Parts: sequence; structure tokens; C-alpha cells
Amino acid sequence: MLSRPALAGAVLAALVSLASGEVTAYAGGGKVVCNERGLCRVVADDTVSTPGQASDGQQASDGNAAKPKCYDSLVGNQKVPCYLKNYGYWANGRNCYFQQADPQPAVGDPRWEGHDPADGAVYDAYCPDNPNMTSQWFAQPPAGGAAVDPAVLALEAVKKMTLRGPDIANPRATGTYMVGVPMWMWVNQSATTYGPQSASATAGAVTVTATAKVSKIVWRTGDGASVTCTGPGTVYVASAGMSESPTCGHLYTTTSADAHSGKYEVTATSTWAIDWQVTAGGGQAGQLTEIRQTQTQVAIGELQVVR
Amino acid sequence: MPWLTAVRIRKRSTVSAALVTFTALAATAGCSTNDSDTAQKSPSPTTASPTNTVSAAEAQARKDVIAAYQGMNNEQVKAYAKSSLAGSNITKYATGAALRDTKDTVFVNMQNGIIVKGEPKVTVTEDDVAIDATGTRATLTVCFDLNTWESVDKKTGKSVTPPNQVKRYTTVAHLQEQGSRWLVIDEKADKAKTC
Repeated sequence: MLSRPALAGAVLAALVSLASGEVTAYAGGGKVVCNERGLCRVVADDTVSTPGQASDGQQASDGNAAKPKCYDSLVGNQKVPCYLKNYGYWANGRNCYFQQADPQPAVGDPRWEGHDPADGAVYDAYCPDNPNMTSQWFAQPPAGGAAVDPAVLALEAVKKMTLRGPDIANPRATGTYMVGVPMWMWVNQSATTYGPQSASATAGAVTVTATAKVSKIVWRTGDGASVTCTGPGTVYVASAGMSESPTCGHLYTTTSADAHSGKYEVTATSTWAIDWQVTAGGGQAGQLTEIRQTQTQVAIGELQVVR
Repeated sequence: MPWLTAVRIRKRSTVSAALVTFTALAATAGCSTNDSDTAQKSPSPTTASPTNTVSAAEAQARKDVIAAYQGMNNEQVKAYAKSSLAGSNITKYATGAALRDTKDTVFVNMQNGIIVKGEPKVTVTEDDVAIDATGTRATLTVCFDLNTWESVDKKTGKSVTPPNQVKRYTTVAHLQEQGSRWLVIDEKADKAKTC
């Protein structure tokens, strides 16, 4: 039975031998870095090395070589990600990531660097080579290179939506309609044919949310007339009798007998009004429109009065 | 061998269990008739009173301080596990140097293909919180154990922790109340100070 000190010594010796083995394994390169909490790791000597550059280290320090889009000039112009979530955008030359502080510090906080909040914004900074820099005030956003155009993002959001033409409920291709009898026109309402529907698109720190809704439907009734309806129309009920639709209708004065295949071609064209706004990373907003069509045919007959 | 076993058991004790234990101890100490002993064990850092009694407001503040620290710890565990701050709420718990250190750890690990598995054992009690006279700054002494928090190569899964590391030690965190929220502003490890 080993005494306690002897056991401890044996354990220690075992640890040391194990340790030296591990050290040998790292002899090919690498260094130990520890964070403030004491978490230590063995990392590459060149801790901002990027995959693909490892075998060509000289190129990075050659001033004439093509620079990556985003690079750290304090570490041989090495490539860094241009954007990282919760870091913000890399600013070449400043060698830091900047992200607008959210929330902004209280008025009078030293991070305002004496400026008035109306004159700019405080940015959280992460600078790999400068531990002391954690914040900076800017009048204008510091990293302009990687700016995202919200209008372009809005188009992407629109692409994610399914925007269809009107779902025509009346007139029906199988229906029979008469000259001189008011025809009521209306559409079924669903998210894909009438709205509203929403979609978002994100690039970097910017998220745009777009909401689409049909703002009007233009009916071309095939007899040369065009009717603009700002709503889905009104569903006909028998009690309405011969009255006109209160919202969206048409009165044919000629039969479709002479039209192609004996029917009028009816085209309903909806205008999707799309409002978009930046829901993360700014405050811009805007509008877009999209046009969609649906066609149907309608037979217009003449009322036969039987005497 | 018995002492090794004892150590292992202590390391396995969960944070919550440790909290309960220490809180219970503190309560007992408060009732103790041995005043000098009590004062030595748990000196109240914020008041001149020799007893352990703290105001309700201070007791709440101490809880909030610990919650902020644990919030930061949890966010770090999540971020280091994937080497990304995407979706992180770290800024709700850390600012200044503590936030910078988190970002730096993620950045360096990301560039080196390192992720950190598991989570550290954080042992902290309300008696480890010292709040200053203004009531807006706090110092927190933490027993930090990263035996269960392992840095590994993301591809190979092999440990990248250097050998001969002290893995259980004391850290001191400073917190500041900003806009009714306690935030960790920095934390420093003192590996020479075991716990």
C-alpha cells in the first residue's frame, strides 16, 4: 500500500509523462491561448489563418498580392469573414467588426464619447488585435463596403411568397348570363390569391419583411369594357334580384354570339400591393407592386321572352 | 485512493445542489451564537454590520447578479459549442471586456475549427456577491471548474486542451447595473487560487 505522498507522486509522474506525450504531438506547431476565464486551447501559431491559405503564407504578407475582400492588415492582410452575426461588419483599415449597440447607451454614458445621440450612434467593436477597443462612436456607419440594399432584399422576400391571380368565383365559365341583366363579379379570398401574406429575407444583419395584399382587380369583360374593383366584390344572393352589384359588376349590352367560340374572354388582373420594411438592422420601408392575371370565359345570351 | 474518490464526488456535485448546500450553511451561520466565527466565515462586504443580515433589496440584487452571471455563462456555453454568436443573447448578460472576451473566444475558435463541448461547473452563492455602496456595481467570486468543458477539434473530435491545466480555480467577475439590468463587465481567472 502506497502512502499518500507516494501515491500523489506516482500520479503526478504519470500525469507529467502523459503531458509530455501530448506536447510532442503539438510540436509540429501551435500555441496555447487562454481567454480571460482561463479556458485554454492549442491553436495555430497564426490564429487568424484561413483554410486554403495555410500553404501559401507568403502571399498574405505580400503587399502587391490581391487582397481578400475583407482582411486584417495587422496580421498580413489575412482574410476574415466580412460579416459575423452579433459581431457586425468588418471594417478594412480599422481592423474591427462593428455593430450598432442595441440598446444604445444612456445619454451621458462615456461610450458616447461626448457626442449627442442625435449626431450618430455607438457601435460595439470587436478588434481581434486590440483587446482594449470594445466600443466606438460613429457619425456614419463605419463599414460601408458590405452594405445591404433593403429594396433588393424586399424583392427576395416577394419571391418567397406565392402570389396568384384572382380566384374568380363569378362569372363562371359554366354559368349563363344575359344581356341587360346585371352581372356581379367577385373572387374567393385566400392568402395566395388575395392576401394578406408575409415573407422575410435576411442578408447579414438586415432583415426585410414584406406583406402583400391585393389592392384592386381590373376586370376586362371581353366586350371592350373594363371595370376596376377595389375589393373582392360582393357575393350575389337571390334576394338582390335584378339589382346591380354594390361593389363590382358589369352590364352586357351585346351577346357573345359573335365572339370567338361564342364566349367573351374575361380577364381579371389583380394588383398586389406589397409593403416592406426593415424589421432588423435599420428602419427603411417601401412599396412594391406585382400584377397577376386569371382568365375565364363567359357566355352572354339574350333573354327569350316567351309570349 | 479514498481522497481521489472524494475529489471526484465533489466535482460531480451539481451547481444547484452546491447552491442549496451553501445557502443552507449561510442561514445556519446567521443563527449561530458564535458571532466572531460567523463574521470570519462570511464577512458582509457591503455593510458595517457584523451580522449576515442583508436588506431585501440587497438580497434581490445579489440574486440578480448571480442570474446575470449564469446567463452569461449559459450563452457562452451555447456559443462556444458551435463557435458562433448567431442567435446569442450574450449582450443581455455581458458587456465591455466580458463581451469582448466572449467574441474573441468564439472568433479564435472559429478560425481554428475548435468547438467547446459540455459546460463548466459554476459554484457561486449569494455570499459571494459584494455590492458596492452605490448599489450599481458588484464583485462576484466564482468557483469555476472546467473539467467538464472540453475544447475539441471540430473535425477530429480530439481534445485541443493543452496539458497540465489547472481546471478548477477561482474567478472574479465584475458586474454593473445598466438600465435596470445587471451585466458582467469583466471576469478574470485566478488559477493560483483553488476552490
